[in-house]
Amino acid sequence: MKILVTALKDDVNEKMDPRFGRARYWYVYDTEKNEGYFIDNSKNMSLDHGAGIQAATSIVDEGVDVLITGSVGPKAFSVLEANNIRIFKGYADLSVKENIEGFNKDELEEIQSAGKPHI
Amino acid sequence: MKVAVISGKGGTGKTTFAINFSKFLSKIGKKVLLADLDVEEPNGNLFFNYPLKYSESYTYIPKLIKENCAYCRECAEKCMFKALAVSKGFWMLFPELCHGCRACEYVCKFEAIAEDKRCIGKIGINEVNNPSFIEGRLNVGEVLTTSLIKDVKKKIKRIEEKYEVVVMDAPPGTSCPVIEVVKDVDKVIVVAEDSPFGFYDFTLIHDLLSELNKDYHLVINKFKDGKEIIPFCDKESINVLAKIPLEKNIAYKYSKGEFALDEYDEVFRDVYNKLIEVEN
Repeated sequence: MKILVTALKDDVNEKMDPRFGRARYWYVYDTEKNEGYFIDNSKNMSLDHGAGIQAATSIVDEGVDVLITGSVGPKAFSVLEANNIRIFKGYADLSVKENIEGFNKDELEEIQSAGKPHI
Repeated sequence: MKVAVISGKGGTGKTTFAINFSKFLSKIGKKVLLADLDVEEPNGNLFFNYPLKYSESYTYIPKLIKENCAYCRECAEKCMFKALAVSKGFWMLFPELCHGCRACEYVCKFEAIAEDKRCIGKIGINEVNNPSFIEGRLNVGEVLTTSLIKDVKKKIKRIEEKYEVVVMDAPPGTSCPVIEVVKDVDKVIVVAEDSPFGFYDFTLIHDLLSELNKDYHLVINKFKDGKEIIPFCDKESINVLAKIPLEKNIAYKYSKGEFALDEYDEVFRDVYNKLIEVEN
């Protein structure tokens, strides 16, 4: 299973980025291989519009199963939902690593509906 | 003769002018069509209360032919408005982002995109009365204002021969919808308001029309002293067709849904004569 956490910096000990489409980095953690890697999202970050849709599509391409972030806008949500990607609400005051641990311990709440656009 | 009534600013009195002018023209025996192209909030018929016959207006959207699609993403990449999300085995359109340009269909090498349509609003018409009336009414939340205006104009084209004068009431502002309205009319009437705000927005529409190389005639509404606008008109040699005074009674009648300028026949006669004069 692949877990993606939105991140402020390319360091798992740094905080999660609560934004989804415009997060600076994405950390992808592969539970089977027990290893992770960072994806630079700066290209999406600077899009005038459609950042959420682009981001969601990239996540589908990446083969991600679970997304941990702050909130997901309606358009990105529908892309993720159509591709059976589960979304969990992470904590912005915790690190990327701590959020993954929280998910593994079943402590994160699953997001069932889209948040407000452009947040 | 096709006349567009425009203004840089909302609330200058475009609609007041357009409905009263149309009414006047019908009174002197002209066959008139009033077109309410302020499709985001068409309120012309509030004054006529005609029963309108409505038909829906559509815009193009792409439709996927699944068995042909290679999921190559060419369509999504070429979409200027990011209305498509494509991944392996997955194709999704966000209709509200689509501007109907057909670039996706054009670039698809696999004939995987076909034409579909989406309703963006409706067009109402009444050709029984004089003035006759046509309006566009955009769906709430819809952004394709210009598309609907184009569609109403298409409909006008089909019937305009029956009319001596077509008066088009435009949306306010200085952006695409206004440009669409003034593009192919014979005359442009700008209604400006005699206030500091009104003057500033008037200079914006003046700049726009200069850019478009369109001559126009000016009606100054809510006229007090013209202390900014008159010197500007003198300097730019702008033809001032009429000055409608700032009068409480006009606002009062308008708010009641009445033809507020029914005592201004002489002003409208003058406006009409000056318009044809320039024409000949």
